[in-house]
Amino acid sequence: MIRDRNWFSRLFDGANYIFLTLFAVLCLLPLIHIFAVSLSGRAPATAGFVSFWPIDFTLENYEQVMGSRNFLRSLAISVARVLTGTSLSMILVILTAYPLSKTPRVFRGRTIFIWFFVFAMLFDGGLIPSFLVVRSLGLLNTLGALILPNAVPIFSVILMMNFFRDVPKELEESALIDGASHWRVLWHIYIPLSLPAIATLTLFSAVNHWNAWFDGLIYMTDTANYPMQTFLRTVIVTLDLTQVGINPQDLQRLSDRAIRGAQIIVATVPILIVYPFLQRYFISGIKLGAVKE
Amino acid sequence: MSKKFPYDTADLKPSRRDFLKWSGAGMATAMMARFGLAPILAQNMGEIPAELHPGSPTNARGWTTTLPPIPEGMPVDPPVTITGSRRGPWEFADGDDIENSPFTRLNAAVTGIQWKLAFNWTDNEGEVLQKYNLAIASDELPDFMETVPLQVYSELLENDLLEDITDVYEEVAHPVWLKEAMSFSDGIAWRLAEVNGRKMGLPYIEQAAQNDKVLWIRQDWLDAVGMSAPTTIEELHAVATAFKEADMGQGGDGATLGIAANRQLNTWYCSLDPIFGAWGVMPTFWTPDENGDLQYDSVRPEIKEVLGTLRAWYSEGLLAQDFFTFAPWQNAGTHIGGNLAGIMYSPAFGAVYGLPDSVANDPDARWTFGDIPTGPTGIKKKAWSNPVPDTVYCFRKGFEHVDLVLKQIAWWAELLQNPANRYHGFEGTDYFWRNEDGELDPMGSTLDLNGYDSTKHIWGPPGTNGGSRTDPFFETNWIKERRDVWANTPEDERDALMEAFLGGDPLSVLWDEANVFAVDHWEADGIKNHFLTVPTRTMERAGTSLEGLEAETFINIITGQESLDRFDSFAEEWRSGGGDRITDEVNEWWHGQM
Repeated sequence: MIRDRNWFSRLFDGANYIFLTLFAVLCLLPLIHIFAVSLSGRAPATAGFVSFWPIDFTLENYEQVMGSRNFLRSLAISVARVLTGTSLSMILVILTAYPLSKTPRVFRGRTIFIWFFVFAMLFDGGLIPSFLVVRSLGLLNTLGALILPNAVPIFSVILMMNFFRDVPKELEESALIDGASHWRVLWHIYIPLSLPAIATLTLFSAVNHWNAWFDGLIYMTDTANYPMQTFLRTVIVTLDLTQVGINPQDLQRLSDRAIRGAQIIVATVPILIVYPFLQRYFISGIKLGAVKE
Repeated sequence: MSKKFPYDTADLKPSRRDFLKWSGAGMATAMMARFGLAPILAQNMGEIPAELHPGSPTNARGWTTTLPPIPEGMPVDPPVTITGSRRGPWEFADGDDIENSPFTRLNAAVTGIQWKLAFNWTDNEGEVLQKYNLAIASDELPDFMETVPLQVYSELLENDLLEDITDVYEEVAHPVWLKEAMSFSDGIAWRLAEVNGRKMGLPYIEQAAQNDKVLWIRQDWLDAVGMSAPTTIEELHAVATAFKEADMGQGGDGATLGIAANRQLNTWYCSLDPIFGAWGVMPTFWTPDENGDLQYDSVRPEIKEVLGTLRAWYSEGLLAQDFFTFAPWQNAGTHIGGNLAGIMYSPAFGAVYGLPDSVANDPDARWTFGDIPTGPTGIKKKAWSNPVPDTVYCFRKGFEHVDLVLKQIAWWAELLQNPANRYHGFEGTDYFWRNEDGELDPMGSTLDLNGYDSTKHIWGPPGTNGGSRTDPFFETNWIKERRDVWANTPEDERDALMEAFLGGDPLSVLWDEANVFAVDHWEADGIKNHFLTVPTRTMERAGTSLEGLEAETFINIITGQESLDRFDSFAEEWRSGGGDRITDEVNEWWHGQM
């Protein structure tokens, strides 16, 4: 019986491996296809001849993408947004989560603040009021419009708060008895113990900033200030040309699959590179957060 | 008001075509003589600094662009700042942007107008609506609004947010480059911009016959099967069948198609509208019946005959088995670029859209174009492409400088649209010198991924993204100038501009030829959609579901999923589902026009 179960479970494992490998390949194939298209000549790529190996191999598509000012400018905006937006978010998340993680006896009014944040998480002002606020603050067409409206991701605050609450109280108490201030407690005890959670939330924040496109569309009245994902929509999403015409040259450019492939690859690779570095934190972070709640 | 847009072409103004027979300089003089305008004053030009001029007068092989006379009272002093919304995106030379480009610099010197960007958008689905709605919500409409979509236009009209420009237009609009240029096809230009006889904006005007189809066909395939270009639908069927049987295409065995088509039967590329036209009907169009009322063509009995024909073609494999999953731009890649089909109904610009990929993938491919084949009773018709799309340029209520904008538009319209002025943009943006011998790269600059056209940088017509002019014959006039005047210039007297355009690759030459051909057949062969105003009440309510029903039924009949007789019950459903009421509303508008 035991051997049977071993045999069966090994078969099950094997089948699992095969299934998951196939599934992983299935996920990779579109990327490989796009990569092959991006390395192909314009004509065979647009005609759909390319599957997983480039035809008429050329690097010209990448040269053109990297030479396009609009593309490079949007890339720079996205990078700036990820760097400043993520660091600002993390600072604010930690500073918000720390007091909220205290008991009401230590931090009177904690419940009110918690409800305040939860309320803001569940309800927002809506598109037009948000736009009006951002506009009257003079933030239109600035990096601030992309960073400030969601600078405090409340979902992250709650995760962080729960993580902080699970840090043993004795550590904090001993530090306080020795005369440490709250700043010192936060900096020397809570943050070092919460690195997995911080890494996880940093990744969330960075990926969110990288992938966000709608706020760019709304808050950037000048298309020259579009972050990359908003810009990419102009070359990838179905165009609406029902209302006005287009030059044949532009039409030709927009249906050039090879160039679009190169743009997708250039836009995807940076965030793909970040993943492996943070992934080990990412996994353990989720597990810790889940178990302790 | 007289009834709009009859088929009769006799009362079309012949003057514009006549101009073309004259030489460029003669043309300009003739126009000015006709309208009693003062001849160009040389001293006028002295005010414009040389570095702002278009063209390359200082290059050994360069050319001069003649600037039209500066409008009266311009440049205004002190300069006026005007805000505007724009359809982007653009690319610029170093340090330039949409508010500071060769266009804005020359424009400021000529008119005294400084343009300021309020907001702009790209062609993503819905983006333009999003941006205009935010502007309305925040009560910050720009002075001049580019390509306002119909929904926004109605909203602005209802809330009285637009300036009535009727009187200013009468007073200052240029007699040739605005008033006459926009009077083609019995005033169709003003179909939306004019409301109850008042001008509430300026029309957006595309090129004549821009989307009118010609029959594009592979000459090398015709030679291979020993046939000649079809002149009737019957012959078209025979040629398509021969192509398929000989398996001329590049795909696997039996992959060759008879004719390229997509899910939109009447559309801008790889359309089937000339086949419907061969039976004298046009799906989705409203046409006058024998009583002078408008009827909806999609429910006319002739449609059933066409659907029956297409159904037979589909079962014979002449249409792609999955054609109804294709959008026009996908035809260009897969069917034409991939050399699966050797026949398509596409506009003149098909020569540079789809065909270049076809030739790149099969160097032996030789495309040619011809007139559309006639139907069983000798009818030869296609969808008349209306050069006035569903969009308007608007002015904010209370805006004080409409006159300045109109004058600016006229000045640039004359500069661009009179070929005698020899405008080809600015060095470094529209073209650059490829080498020291003065060889010119006329289309591409290093700025963009592909060819670039800086008229996009121009605020308002005759510029903008997409090329809105005031004269629908602008492109054809230029082609004729090149062929009739430049080509007759002795070779040693040609400058770089002439040489660059006269050379041209074979496909560009084909484009020019097809363009002239399509424009010549524009009025005679076109079936016009006579319903030209905003959607009626019932259209707004039931239009979408009726359109869906129609599209689905037609595709189902063609692909054999439903019987051909389904058409009769469809027509009945259409009528009872709101079609009758829509017909009444359409006719109410139509007879109000008479």
